[in-house]
Formats: sequence, C-alpha cells, structure tokens
Amino acid sequence: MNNRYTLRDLIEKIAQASGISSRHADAFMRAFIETVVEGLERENIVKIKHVGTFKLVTVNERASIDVNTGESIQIESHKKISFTPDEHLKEVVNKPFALFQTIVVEDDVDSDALNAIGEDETEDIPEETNVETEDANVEAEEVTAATEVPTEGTANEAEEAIEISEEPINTAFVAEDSTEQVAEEPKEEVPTSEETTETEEKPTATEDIQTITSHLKEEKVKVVEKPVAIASESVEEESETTEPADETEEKASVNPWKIATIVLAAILIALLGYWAGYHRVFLSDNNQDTTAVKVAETDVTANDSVNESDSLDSLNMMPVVDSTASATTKNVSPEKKVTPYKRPVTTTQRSKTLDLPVRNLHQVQPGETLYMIAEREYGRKDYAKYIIEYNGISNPDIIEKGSILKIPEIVK
Amino acid sequence: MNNKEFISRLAEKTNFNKNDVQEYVKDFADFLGNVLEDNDTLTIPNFGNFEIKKKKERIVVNPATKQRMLVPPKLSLNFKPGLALKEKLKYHDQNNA
Repeated sequence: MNNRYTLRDLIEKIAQASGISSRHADAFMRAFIETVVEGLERENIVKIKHVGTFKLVTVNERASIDVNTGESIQIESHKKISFTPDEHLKEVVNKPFALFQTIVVEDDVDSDALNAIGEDETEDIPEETNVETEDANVEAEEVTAATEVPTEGTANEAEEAIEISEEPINTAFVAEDSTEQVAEEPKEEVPTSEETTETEEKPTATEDIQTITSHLKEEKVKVVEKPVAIASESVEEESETTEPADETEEKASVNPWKIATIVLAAILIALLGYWAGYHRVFLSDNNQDTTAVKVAETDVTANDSVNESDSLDSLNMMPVVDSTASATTKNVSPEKKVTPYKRPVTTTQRSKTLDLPVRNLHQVQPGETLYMIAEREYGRKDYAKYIIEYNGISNPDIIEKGSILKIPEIVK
Repeated sequence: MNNKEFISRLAEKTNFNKNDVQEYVKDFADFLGNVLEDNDTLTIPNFGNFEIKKKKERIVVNPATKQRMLVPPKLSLNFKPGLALKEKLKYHDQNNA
C-alpha cells in the first residue's frame, strides 16, 4: 500500500529474478525505455508480449475555457500516450478482487435477496454476518423483554430477517412453522392458508420470505386489534377477511409458544455462528497480519457494495412490509460489521517499538539506506520506521557508515 | 512495432540473446503484476509512472434491455507518462521522423 518503487527497485528485482548482474539489468531497462519511445516515434504503436501495448493517440482540437480569465480558448490537436496492459497482466493485477462477479440487479428483487447475494460473494469471511446476527439478536431480545405480546411480532420479524440473511434452509423451516400456525385455525383462515401453500411451492427463497414477513405483519395487525392499512395489498386483503374479535383471542393463545420456539432456535443459531466466527478471527489474528488487513479491506468494499445496492433497491420498490425488517438489519450493518477486523490490526500497528527485544545487530555498509536494511531484515521497506524509532535516529536520510544499528524483533 | 520487432531491436541494443530479452521483459511484467499492490507506484525517470488504482464498484444499465448490473470493484494498472515524454511526443509527426 502506498509504496513508491523506483527504477532501482525494479532493476534489483529483475537482476534477482533472472540471475544477471544489476548493471546488465540497468542497461536492459534503459534500452527497454529507449526502444518503447523509439517505437512510438516511428510507428505510433509498440506491442510488448506479457506487458501490453503503448500507443500514440491523436486528440482532436477542442474548445475550452481558461479557468483564470474565463476566456474561451482552443486546445490544439495533439498526441497522447495510452497504455493498455496485457490481458493476463490485467488479471494478475486484479487478483485480490478476482472473486467478484458482475451481478444482474433485477427490479423485483427485494433487499433481503440482495443481502443473500452479498454474502455469497464474501463466503470465505463469515464473521461479518455472524456479528451482525448477534447484534440484531441482542436488539430483538431487548425488544421482547421491554414489551409484551403485541410487539413480539416485530421482534420476531427482525429475527426472521436475520435468519433469512443467514441461511435459506432455516427460513424454509420457519415457513413451515408459520403455515402450521395458520392451519390450526382452518375454518376462518381458509383463504390465507391456501395462499401460503401456494407460495411455498414457488422455487425462490425471496418469495417465501415475503410471504413470511407479510404473515407476521398480518398477525401483528390482529393482535393489536387494529386493521391498520399497510401498503402491501395482500396483507390488506387478508386482514379484511379475518376481522372478528374472537379469532384474535384464539390466535393470541396459540402464538406465544410458537414464537418462543422460533426465537429460541434463532438465538441458538446466532450463538453457534458467533462462536465459529470468533475462532476464525482468533486464528487469522495469529497467523497472517497483513492478509487480515487485506481481507478487511475487501470486506469493507463488499459491504459497501451490498449496502449501496441495498439502499438503491429500497428506493425503488420497497413496500412497507419490508421496511421494518430491512431497517433492522441496516441499523446494524455498516459500522458494527467492520469493528472486529480493525481491532487486531490497530493493536499490532500501534507499536511499542522501544519495548521490543533486540534480534540482531547490523553494521551499516557504505551506500546502504535504512530502506535497504529494512527490506533485507524484514522483507518490507516500510518497516524501516521501526528501526528508526528503535535506534532513535533523528534524521533517517543520513546514517553513518560503519555505525551499528540494533534491529528489533518485530512481534506480530 | 510488434513484439517480435521490439524484442529483436532490444536484443540488438543490449547485445543480449533474444530469448533472454523476452525473459527479462516477462520479469518486468511480473514486477508490475505481483510486486505492485493497490496504490503502489513504480516511477521510471524520463518515462513515466506505472500505478495500480482501485476502481469502485458501479451500476451500469444495458441500454437495449434496461437491465441493471452491479459491476464489482477492481484493480487496474495505469501508465502515466512523464512530463518530458509527454511534451516530446505531443506534437510529434511520424512522417517527419
């Protein structure tokens, strides 16, 4: 990150890789540049295998405005150099992000489905989702503790949403459950139960989810005993068909057990997930500091993309039914997800360099720089700052030849 | 100038074997691909900078089908010519050369 390499680094690397002297590598690179320029001058194009294509492109003249005076000026036609990297080189450069693929965003996909897609992308980093579920879980529990039956519907919904984002099998289970609930009052509920069985047969998980959430809404409406008009048409219809008051009482007596079992199952899953996630974090912390940073980085971008698409989607076609569920997941997602990664990184970076043990001593040779020493000792140039700090060097640009530097043991 | 011409010209200049030259060119490409990470730059005086830039993810719409697609973020290698080279070739006319 943010390393600046010079021609010298490049020459050293080439000399090392091909086993020629650095003087020859130097001559080679100079000739390389010369030849590229020569080729551009002569033929406007230079194609180099493994590297890419340099091209001289003509830019047409165009009108512009002088930013200082506001006068309109004419920019002359001129040539500019363009470089297109070789296909293979492009792939190699993009390797850290190679796992991403272009996704088709469909208009009728709701945000839950998109979440599921996002998690597929970041399959190898499950901690994020676990943390999310855990947080949301706590939230949901708080809600249930604070209020009684009527709000349990919403808490349940939140749970549901989390489960959905976690694993589809689970939602299927819940779906069955809720249909059972409905089936227990068959006389009044004939139309709705039919509908649920119908939707169950549909293949995609999202549709199941939608029916579940709408069901929950419906239940909530009944328990509160107010036929509140909710945007989704299906919910409205259903609440209309099941008006009478005695039904609601029946429902209230059956529901708490079911709800309790669902909540318990969700908590169990979340805990398991969190446990697994914790172990992973621990391992990666121990082993690969730098890769952890990278993973965190890609992770953040993945999150970004998911969130972005999330919000886009919600703008487009969010019915009211979804808004509560997705809102709860959103509340939790952006900031909290990232924290567990940052912690190990920052603790290692904020070094207490001066407390570190001495690994070995190094006598400065003529022509050596701190960067070169750091690269030889640690394999990374930017670790020179540890040496600088450790030895209390005030001006890192000047080091005396023959002086002896203490090389600290860097503990990850 | 294609690769073959380029390599032979380079071999001529450096008095290296053509195969070797091709090897070294590959090493150069490896450096660009494997050593440079996000935001790293390789500065070559009198030539320009090679740098890796991260491109953010974006949503594109297929104008024909109106289909929206989420294009993932990616890393790309850019070359930015140095000022001297830019000026040198700015009004360059190959017929005069």
